[in-house]
Amino acid sequence: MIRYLVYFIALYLALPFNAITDIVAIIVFFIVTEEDERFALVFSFIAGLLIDLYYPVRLGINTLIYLTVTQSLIYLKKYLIRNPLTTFATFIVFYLIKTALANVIISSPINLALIFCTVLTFFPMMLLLSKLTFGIWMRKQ
Amino acid sequence: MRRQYILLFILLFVISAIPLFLHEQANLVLARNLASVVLFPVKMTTRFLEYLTISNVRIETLEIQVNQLKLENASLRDKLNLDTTRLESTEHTLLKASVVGRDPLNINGYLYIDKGIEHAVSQNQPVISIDGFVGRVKHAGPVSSIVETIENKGFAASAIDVNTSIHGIIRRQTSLMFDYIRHTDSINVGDSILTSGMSELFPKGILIGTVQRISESDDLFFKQVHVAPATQINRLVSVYIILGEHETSTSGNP
Repeated sequence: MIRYLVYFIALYLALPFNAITDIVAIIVFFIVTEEDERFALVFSFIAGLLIDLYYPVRLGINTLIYLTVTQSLIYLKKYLIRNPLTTFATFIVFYLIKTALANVIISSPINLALIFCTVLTFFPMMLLLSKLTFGIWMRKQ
Repeated sequence: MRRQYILLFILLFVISAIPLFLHEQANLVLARNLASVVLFPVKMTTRFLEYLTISNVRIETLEIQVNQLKLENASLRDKLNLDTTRLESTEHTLLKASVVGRDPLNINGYLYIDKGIEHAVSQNQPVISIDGFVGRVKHAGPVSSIVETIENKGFAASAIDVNTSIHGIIRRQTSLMFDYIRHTDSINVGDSILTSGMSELFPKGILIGTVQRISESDDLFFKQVHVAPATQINRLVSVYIILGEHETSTSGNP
């Protein structure tokens, strides 16, 4: 239960900085890989909604994108082996699809700096979240 | 279990899609209302951070003001100390007196002070201020005195140009003049004029004023040197009366 509270606190804390580094995407990815499917789905919905409200373009776009991408990841999760390289590669694909969808729908230019910063922040954030919620730096299969 | 999950996904998907089909205005209103509720913690945090930032800026501004005031205060304290030191380091005994009256038109250039014979004030004692020379005690009453200032027409004192050591007489005519300076004497605008100590009345080295203007005159021997007084008589609040010289301990055969 405390884990869920940590996720929501992290989500609210990350929201103002999401234009610099997409920490929300990392948190959603972490929850999808580590938590229950239903919670991951609800959390991705809330994360998308918060982004829609904090960075308003049109209400519902990010919510739908997050929901769709998360559902796809949940479906693929059982076929993936759990090691750092696969996790990283999966995140890259997840994040690029999410970004591409958002950019295509909103017709906004691709922010390469944001993508670069997010990719750089991915592992430190994953380690931190894992340590905060499960008490270990990284879970192995 | 699986069915519940699919239902949840469909429900969330529909909820997400509904706003996209709304009219743009309705979408905006919905977003605004939702944001006021859902983003309340973020807004509170942002406002708190803004408040902290503004407070920080205000504190910095106040700190700068406090520092400026401290500097100003220190400067004023230094000034006071300097003046006091100058008065204390002089060889004379000084008595501070407050100006209690003055000639409003300043025709005669007299000041009335609150010290008199009871305070060891006597006639002809020199009177100075922090800025420089003021005049002399014209009349000493029991508890008050009249001071004849350099503003008084006819007032005269022996003076010296500190830069060129040229002696002359300072006196009030139409303005304050440094008299008896020959055409051949080199004297410059801005030179300080001090009491020379030649007369028995006034001790040496009290600043009277500075040379303001040197004008040509019809006088065969002397030029006209106008002096700006160091002390503004009409602004004086207190003055110092030179009561006498300190006794020195170096004298004395047994």
